[in-house]
Amino acid sequence: MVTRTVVFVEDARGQAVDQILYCESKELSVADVGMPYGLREVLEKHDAGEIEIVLFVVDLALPGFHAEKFFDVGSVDDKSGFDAGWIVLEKILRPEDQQCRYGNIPAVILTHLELTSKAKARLNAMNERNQALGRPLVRYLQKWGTSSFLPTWAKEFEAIIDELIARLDNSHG
Amino acid sequence: MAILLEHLLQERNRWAIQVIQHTVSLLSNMPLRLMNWQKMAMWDPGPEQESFLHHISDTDLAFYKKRRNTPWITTARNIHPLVDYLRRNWTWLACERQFFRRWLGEANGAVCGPERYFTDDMRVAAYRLNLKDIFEGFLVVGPVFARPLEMELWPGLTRVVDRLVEKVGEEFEGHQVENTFDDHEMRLRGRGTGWVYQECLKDDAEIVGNTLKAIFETEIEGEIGLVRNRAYNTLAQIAYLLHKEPSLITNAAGKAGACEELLFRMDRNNNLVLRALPGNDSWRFSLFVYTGLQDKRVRVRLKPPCDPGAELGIEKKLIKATGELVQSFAYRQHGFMGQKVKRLSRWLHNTFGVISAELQKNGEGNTGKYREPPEKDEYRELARRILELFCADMVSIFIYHHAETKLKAKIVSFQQELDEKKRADWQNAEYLSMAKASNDRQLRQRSIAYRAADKKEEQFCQALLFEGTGRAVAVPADQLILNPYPEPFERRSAIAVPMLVHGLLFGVLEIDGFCQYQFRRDSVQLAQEIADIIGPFLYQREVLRGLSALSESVLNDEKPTEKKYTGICEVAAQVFLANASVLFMPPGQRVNEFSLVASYNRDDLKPLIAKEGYSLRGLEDDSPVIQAFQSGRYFNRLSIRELEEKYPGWRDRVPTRKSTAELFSHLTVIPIRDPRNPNSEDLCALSLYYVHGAEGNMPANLLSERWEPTAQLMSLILAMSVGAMHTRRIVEESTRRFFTHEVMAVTNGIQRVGQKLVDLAEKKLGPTPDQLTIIADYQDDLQVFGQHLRKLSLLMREDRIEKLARSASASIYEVILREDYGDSVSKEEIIENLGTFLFRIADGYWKPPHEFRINISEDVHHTSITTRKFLLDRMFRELLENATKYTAEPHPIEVQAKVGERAIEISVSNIGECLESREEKLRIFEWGFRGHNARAITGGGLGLHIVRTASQILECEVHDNIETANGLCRFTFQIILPREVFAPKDTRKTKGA
Repeated sequence: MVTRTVVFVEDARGQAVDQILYCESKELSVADVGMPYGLREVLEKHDAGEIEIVLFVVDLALPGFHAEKFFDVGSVDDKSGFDAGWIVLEKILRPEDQQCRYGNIPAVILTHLELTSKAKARLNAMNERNQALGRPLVRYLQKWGTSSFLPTWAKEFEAIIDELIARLDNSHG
Repeated sequence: MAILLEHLLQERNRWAIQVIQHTVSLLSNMPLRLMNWQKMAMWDPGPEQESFLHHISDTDLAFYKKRRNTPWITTARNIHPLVDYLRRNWTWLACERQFFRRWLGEANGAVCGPERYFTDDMRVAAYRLNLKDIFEGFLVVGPVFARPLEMELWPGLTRVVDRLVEKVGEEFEGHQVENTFDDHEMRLRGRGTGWVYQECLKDDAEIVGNTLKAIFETEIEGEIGLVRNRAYNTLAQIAYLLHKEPSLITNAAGKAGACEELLFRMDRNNNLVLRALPGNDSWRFSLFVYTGLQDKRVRVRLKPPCDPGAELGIEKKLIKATGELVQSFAYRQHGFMGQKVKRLSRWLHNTFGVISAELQKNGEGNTGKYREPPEKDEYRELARRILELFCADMVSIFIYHHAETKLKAKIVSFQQELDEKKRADWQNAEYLSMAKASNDRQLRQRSIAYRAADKKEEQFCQALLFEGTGRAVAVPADQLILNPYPEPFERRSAIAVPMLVHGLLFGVLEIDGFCQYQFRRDSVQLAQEIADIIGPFLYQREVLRGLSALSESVLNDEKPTEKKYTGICEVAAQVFLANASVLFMPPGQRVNEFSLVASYNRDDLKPLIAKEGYSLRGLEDDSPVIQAFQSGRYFNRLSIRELEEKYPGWRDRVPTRKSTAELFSHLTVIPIRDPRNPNSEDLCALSLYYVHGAEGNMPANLLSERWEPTAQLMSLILAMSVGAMHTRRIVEESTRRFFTHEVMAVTNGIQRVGQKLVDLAEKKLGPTPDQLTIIADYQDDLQVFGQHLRKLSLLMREDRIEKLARSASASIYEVILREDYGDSVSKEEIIENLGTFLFRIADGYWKPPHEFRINISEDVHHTSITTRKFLLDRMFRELLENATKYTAEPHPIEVQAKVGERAIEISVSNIGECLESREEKLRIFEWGFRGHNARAITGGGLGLHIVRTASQILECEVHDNIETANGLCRFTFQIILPREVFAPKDTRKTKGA
């Protein structure tokens, strides 16, 4: 059986430890990629059938993540890397190209950044496209609060994972 | 003098205001001037009813410039008091100006004076002069430039005046004393008119009273119109100061005007004082005219048809204002976290502090007459007005702190000039007596006001008592105020009334008189009315002050966290007038379990509170009682009984709560929740305790809904404060670790960066990104700093910081280690032979007892790359350093390098003690993280973090692989250099653009 893999596009995986551990506790393999090269490798493995990517978890702020080096995303004006996650989503995982192989894999944004009006517009635009193409919508989870309090976003994330696993089991079953 | 006057004239409104002020002032002493009615000429603007403003503005400056050397100025008698008066009242005038200007245009009016002053040229001058000092004794009657309340009452007043003039004027014709006005000495006393009145009143009080009675009963039926005087205005001014809303002022005035009782009496300076007592149920006019002695009084009752003053709901207003605050700050307009707390509190302070500011400005008046305490003078103006109203010697406002072990009441007082020593004795006696009373358990069930009276060795003989059911007022049978004791003051009297907020005792208003018999039963009622007005206002101010102080305290760097928590409790106890408050916080990351972190309470409650706990565990969410307990925040003996009946096991689950509640009778819990997500779990919880029967804390009074807006506001601020404290703690912790790191702490640059970090935390934003890069000297500092900036920006949710962080991080990646390494840091160089490059570095670390196995394939020796040589060097060294540090002997360290299809892979592996958990494995690249296996080894947890950061800069990747074997772990770290990125420069397409 091909390993079910959750891909964390996250430059600092230490900030998503709980989520990674939760995925692993659900017998999902986790690939954390902080650089475009690694993402490309993972995607190639998926294409080759070595693994089965079941979910993308994308952080938005990825300093040093220059997707244009390894993906055909055109020229990108994002030196700081604060928009790198958006580029990954819009150009690689949810491009306008209907033939994209990863369009049907669910994706979640998990970030510290606040959902500003600008970001919201960006997300909505992307999701409208997803809806039109029948792709799963991209969820936005904002990490908020402090570790000593119960983070509701973490609950939401776990719910997403549970739902995903249930769906996968049903489809396989 | 001329220059001064010219300057004054340029501020024409001030003159107008002064005229108005004194017109009103003179009008308030109307009976006095009525004596001279026959001798006065009247000037009337006529049917056109030109506005005063218009009149002034036509002729103002031009006239004065032309006439400033004319004889009326130079020969005007005693011009100095005018100037002196102006100077003294300047602040007051400035304060009042805006108010008057608003209404000036709508006012009609005329000022009357001796005919000789109203020649054409002099008419305007008459407006400008200080009527009290120069036109003293003139009649001022007819439409005046009035405040809205006076205009509203005007029709009735004119008729009163007309009738008074007609009837009383005739009666008193024989008492005209022209000499009084002309006499210089009398004028210096300031109130020459008062003497006239006094003379009349002594002999002819009944005539006055009968006349008034006749007038009111025959003429004024059905009108809202009454004689006004200073007391009347004072009440309205208090309303104005409290609310600054015309409608409320009008209402207050209406209430004051259409009041139940009006009291005339003489004060020490022989001024006529009128008191207005609003009636709540029936709007009867009762006019008492006191003549200083009991047997000379006239009582008149009137029935107005209207219902003025129906809307004086200060409580409602407070609730509404508080609710609006919560609404407006519900994170739509403003963000979250610490920086907002200050802003919010400042906003609160500014919004409500205006009153205070104005009070202080107004306090400049009458300085010649009163001695004012230098400290605690925020409410001085308020006290002064109350003092004027009662013609008292001293007014003190006490604010009671229920949770204090000792009574720490704030004393705000305003008193007339007296012997300072005696004054101090008096205040000390009061202070001590209240403190003593508060420690007496038996007395707790009675009002603190009564206790204050009681324990002051019966110098107070009249006060209000609290019955067990709330606000029942009992007035002792003896209506007179006596003072049997000679010390510290002889023959004095005092009254004290409680100030209540939502039925709880907030403070005490105490009024001390000059002599015995000064206060009467109606004085107490009036005092209580005033206390009812000012109580909620003062409470509001204190609440905001407390919340502001809380925010300041939370954000204070130097304050220990424990003290901050205690401060939160202290403020909470003050805000909710509780006898004790306890703050519960969840320890660590566990949810639904709370432990006591701080409390603020009286000493006798400490043993009980120490047992208290707070837990949501084990309670069904759907239980109605629990819901009531959570949402209603109201917990009393009854609810516990119900709880036990319905849920027998409940007692065992939360035993401390029950027992505490039984002992305390009242327990109010405010769960603090994330305001962004109302459905979230509690962040922390605040418990408030009310001791049964103490200081007016009656069960019937503790209605939870009344406190709801306050609780919401408190919850909001606490949620923000907790967030701010957490942010601050993170920053503090990071900074501390930053400084204590052994390698980095030596450089000044770090300190500067750290200082910037601290400054940022304190919101002293200043440096531009360029400056930041200059400030930061070392690469690692910059990295760390950049990360902290980013973290800070994420935590603080401050756009500006985030923007700064974005640009700073971009710059940070560019400017690295300028001072030590110069341009070599950012300079890209071609490494011709990567294999040799790596081998040399690895060879440098090959020291006994470590065994190195270096396996660099031939391909690598033939590979050349372009990169920032320094950073690659640094990365590789950090990995080697890491491996030599943590390897377990005699296991060798393996270094491998090979060229793959698309990338060059460099790996360093060693065998060492295992990490404790998967979580530790995931965190190894984090800044400052040190695994369980590293406890015995010195280090700062930075090596792998540097590797990771450098990899981000170089756009290469770092992989880690940790395998367990035979109780030890093999750590393999792999640097993957994509060939596309690291290709030699001449073959690359986009690098270095």
